[in-house]
Amino acid sequence: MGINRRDFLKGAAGSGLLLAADASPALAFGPRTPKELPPDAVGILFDSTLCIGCNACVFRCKQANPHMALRPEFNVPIGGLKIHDTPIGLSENTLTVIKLYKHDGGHSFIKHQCMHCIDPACVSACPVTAFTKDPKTGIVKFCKRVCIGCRYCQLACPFVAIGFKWDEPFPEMVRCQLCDHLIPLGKYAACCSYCPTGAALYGRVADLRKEASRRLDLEYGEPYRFPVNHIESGRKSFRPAAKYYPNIYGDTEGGGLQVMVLAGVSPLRLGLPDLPDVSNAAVSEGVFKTIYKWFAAPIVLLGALVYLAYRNTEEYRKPKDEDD
Amino acid sequence: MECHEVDKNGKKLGGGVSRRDFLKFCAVMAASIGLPLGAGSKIAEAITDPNRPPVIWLSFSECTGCVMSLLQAHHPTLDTFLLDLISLDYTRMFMTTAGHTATALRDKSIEENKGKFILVVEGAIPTKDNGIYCKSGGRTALDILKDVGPKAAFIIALGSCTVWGGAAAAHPNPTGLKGVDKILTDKTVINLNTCPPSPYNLLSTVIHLLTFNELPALDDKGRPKFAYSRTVCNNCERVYNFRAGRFAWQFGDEGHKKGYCLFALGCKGPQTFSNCPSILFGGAGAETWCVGIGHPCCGCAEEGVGWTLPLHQLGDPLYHFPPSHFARIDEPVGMGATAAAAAVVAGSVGIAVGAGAVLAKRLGKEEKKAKELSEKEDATVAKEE
Amino acid sequence: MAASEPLGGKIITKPFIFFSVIMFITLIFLVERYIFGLGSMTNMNDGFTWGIWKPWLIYIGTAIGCGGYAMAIMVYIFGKGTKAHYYPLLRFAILTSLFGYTLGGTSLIVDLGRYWLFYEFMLPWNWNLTSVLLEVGLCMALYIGILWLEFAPAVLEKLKKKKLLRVFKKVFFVVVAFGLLLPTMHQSSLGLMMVIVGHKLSPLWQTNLLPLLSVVSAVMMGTGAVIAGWIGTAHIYKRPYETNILSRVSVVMMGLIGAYLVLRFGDLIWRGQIGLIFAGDVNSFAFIIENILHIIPLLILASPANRISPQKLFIAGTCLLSGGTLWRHNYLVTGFCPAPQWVFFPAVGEVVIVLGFVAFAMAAIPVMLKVLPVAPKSDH
Ligand code: SF4
Ligand code: SF4
Ligand code: SF4
Ligand code: SF4
Ligand code: SF4
Repeated sequence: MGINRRDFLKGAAGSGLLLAADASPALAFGPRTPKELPPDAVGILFDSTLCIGCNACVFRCKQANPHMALRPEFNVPIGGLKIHDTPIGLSENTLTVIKLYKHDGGHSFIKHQCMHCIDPACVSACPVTAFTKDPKTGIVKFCKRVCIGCRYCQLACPFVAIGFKWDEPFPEMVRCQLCDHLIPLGKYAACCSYCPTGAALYGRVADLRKEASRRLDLEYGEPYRFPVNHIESGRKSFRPAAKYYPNIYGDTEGGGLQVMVLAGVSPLRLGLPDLPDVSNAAVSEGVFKTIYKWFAAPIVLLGALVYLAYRNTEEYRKPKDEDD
Repeated sequence: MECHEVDKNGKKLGGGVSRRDFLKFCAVMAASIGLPLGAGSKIAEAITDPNRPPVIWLSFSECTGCVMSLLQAHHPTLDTFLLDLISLDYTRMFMTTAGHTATALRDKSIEENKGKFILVVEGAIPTKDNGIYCKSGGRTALDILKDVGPKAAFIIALGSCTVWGGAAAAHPNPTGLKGVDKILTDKTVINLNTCPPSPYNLLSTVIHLLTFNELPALDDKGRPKFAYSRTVCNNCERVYNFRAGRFAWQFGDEGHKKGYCLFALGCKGPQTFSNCPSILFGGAGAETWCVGIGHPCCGCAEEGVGWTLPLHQLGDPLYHFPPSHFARIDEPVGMGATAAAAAVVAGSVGIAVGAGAVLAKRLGKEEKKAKELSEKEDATVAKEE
Repeated sequence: MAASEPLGGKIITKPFIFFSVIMFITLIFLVERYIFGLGSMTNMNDGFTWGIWKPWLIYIGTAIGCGGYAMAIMVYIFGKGTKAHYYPLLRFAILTSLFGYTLGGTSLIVDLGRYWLFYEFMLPWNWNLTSVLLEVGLCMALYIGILWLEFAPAVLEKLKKKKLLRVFKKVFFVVVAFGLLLPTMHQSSLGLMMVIVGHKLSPLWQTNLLPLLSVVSAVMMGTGAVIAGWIGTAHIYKRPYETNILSRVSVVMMGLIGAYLVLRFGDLIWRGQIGLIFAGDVNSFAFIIENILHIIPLLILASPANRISPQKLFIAGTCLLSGGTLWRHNYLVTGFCPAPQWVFFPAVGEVVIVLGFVAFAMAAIPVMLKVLPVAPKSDH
């Protein structure tokens, strides 16, 4: 059963083919084209310099999503409303949370929630299309009906913004859906409509981006009329501008987010990840789609393999005496 | 003052009050200015001393609200306060004499108690045009204060006007009103803010001065720490609503009726330091203070807030130090290793590695044996040959 | 088929009983899992949402189960003129694959949060064509079927279904081709699945080469499993070690290990992250061990004498197996950090479930070996 040099080389070429099928596109991949922000997309601008940590948003969010808006068919309190608890982070009971960043010079609050990525990893990852991005509002929606609970979405989400009901025998995923169940009622995100300071501000992302850059242009201490609740609500809070860290988190981070953050310190110190401008979804899909474009590579590979296998099982196909 | 009991040391006791009750009052007093329990008897001693320093009360640009507030005091009542507890030698409001007689009495007392008396000032001092906008007995307030101030042992600025000008000095402040400490710059002035001021804060301060003959602990703005070290929110009965985000959004709305936090209506509680919510006003019972009756705190105790910021502009919780229930950014989530889990993991890895090692060793032995055997065979074969 | 025969012997042995006890304990935890939910007996949380089940039962389990894939490559690609179909270890390898993959697939019933909706995964109108997981899932399901087909001759022989066997042999090459294609696809996709997590995975492991490394590593691990597994089996059941075959396999292996290491380090240097190796933290430590476990077999196999020594082959095979295992464990658990505040260490129940699956394989593989004509004939 010696293997001669020629066969070895031939075989090596064959296995090289196997690897090349993977390698060449993987080496020559680029991210897929980033997704665009729908023109009428809605979102939230969170201004940490305005937030007073009152938790109205957390409380109202729980009230607006009693045992989660994700299942309106069961929209009755089960086992009591967990409304006024003290959540330590996002979880199956908490779609948004105010967290505290403390340092010697003071403190900042940060609102954590699903950031409604423009190019969301969860949508790209879910095998059964339980996540979808609304083409009009850009809201990343979740439909639990098809979800099989593989939790790949949780793994993929850069903000760890998806909760799973770990302690239930028949669990489901939960996360902020930008209160899209309130939009038909003529209302909008509960957290914003009850934020007294305007720290959490709802509106069209395009408007919010303009508002955010206006704020960054303010001098420290310059009086400014900060819109409250909804950017079009007309409610304003008049106060001097704080010192801003010159970055709108979510303008480009992670391919852009519909929930943006302004802060007095670097948003990275507020527990937000340092994301590249190309979303992880685009990178992953870039590799994936290059390999599986038109399904060509696998088909070519299959052809080659069928040939090799056919040639190498010649003897096997011949009927043998002992078989009969 | 004849009716007063005299105790065994010949000292006067509070009018119509039993010694027991009086001592109780002193103990409560001690507690309210944050003194240890034993201080009660020291207070009792000080305020029954016939030679205790007198109080001179000067009134300038004011609305008499301070005194009105004082009138509402009920523990003790104003008469007990004025007649028994302090020795008030001059006050424009409550003296039976008036005019030059009163002024003469005042000047006499000042001369007699020079360097010993306590000066209470009520009302801001106009400084524009040499202070001609407020005069008493032909002298400007500015003049009187500059004259009397340096002679006093302690100076209390009573009410927001007196501290920094208050309502009277609101923009555009035509008479150039200023607070006492802007005029008597080389003396420590005890600032008792709020408009009107709380009679109990005044009483407590005076009694502290009488008892210990020294200033109570003051903050950097000259306010006694026992009354002004915490924000209004800190003691507000609605603060749990603040922390749960339950706000009244409009006067008369559901939240307002339910007694939710008034922050969204412009309550300045978060940036105002005062003990209003705990000491209350007017002695009319529970919740008789601004927020208690449903109106946002307007920050009257804080220079730069009251009469400066719009009434319904949102307050700024500059000093709202986040309570410890806030989740920190790096609040750990999840479960780490337990001893049992670590043991199971270590055990399984150990067994796997161990089994591999044993097998490898046995294979080695087997190989050696086989080698020896084949060598032997070779040897025998060689021999046979 | 003269090549394979059942080992024979008692079915109920001491190890069999030992593993059955572990399986029983696992059952108790399983009951808890189905009544009280995943949180009751695992430490998985929203951050470390995959815990150790998917890393161990899917990633590592199927990689070990790539023995069949690796051997098929040796036989059908390198095997021209070497009486490929008699290749004696192929069936043994396919048996390990069968267990690796079938157990991996079964573990989903335990791991999936909403397992009762598993069928939704199979409905084409639900498919999300950008999802790498979809590719992995479908491809793996298909491959489990292919593996059973590849294994079918053993069963057919046992059942003496000669006609069926003959027909089967005619089309066997198609099965073989799929058996080579599918693992290439899903093993690479398994690696690709972690690309989307981005910054959550330490740069020591996060790279777009994950798919390629994954396939190479899967072949290496599969081969390692066959080498170590067969030598262990042969030792215990007193069979020939087949070192001549294994030594040939190990030559190919050396090339692969070399390629893997070049890719691995080249990629680190190219991305400028090589310095992280010396960071002195848990990650760098794990990285070093992982790569030492890859280098040792390379050194061992470099010497032709070692390539025919069962002991050295066994050590090399085990190192390869553990190296690949550690690499997978590292890029899924050790090097994974959803955000600094997240803490994770598997709970007892979590580990026990993994052990239960391992125990099942350990108990059932010998039974299969004893009953079915899988092992190479000793008079070979
Ligand atoms: S933050 Fe997470 S859950 Fe929300 S859209 Fe982005 S990836 Fe999806
Ligand atoms: S857990 Fe559900 S929603 Fe998340 S990726 Fe899996 S199937 Fe999709
Ligand atoms: S948008 Fe709605 S669901 Fe999302 S955090 Fe705000 S209140 Fe909660
Ligand atoms: S409601 Fe507004 S101010 Fe209050 S904690 Fe939430 S974001 Fe901050
Ligand atoms: S803001 Fe006003 S009402 Fe609310 S807690 Fe503070 S003082 Fe009370």
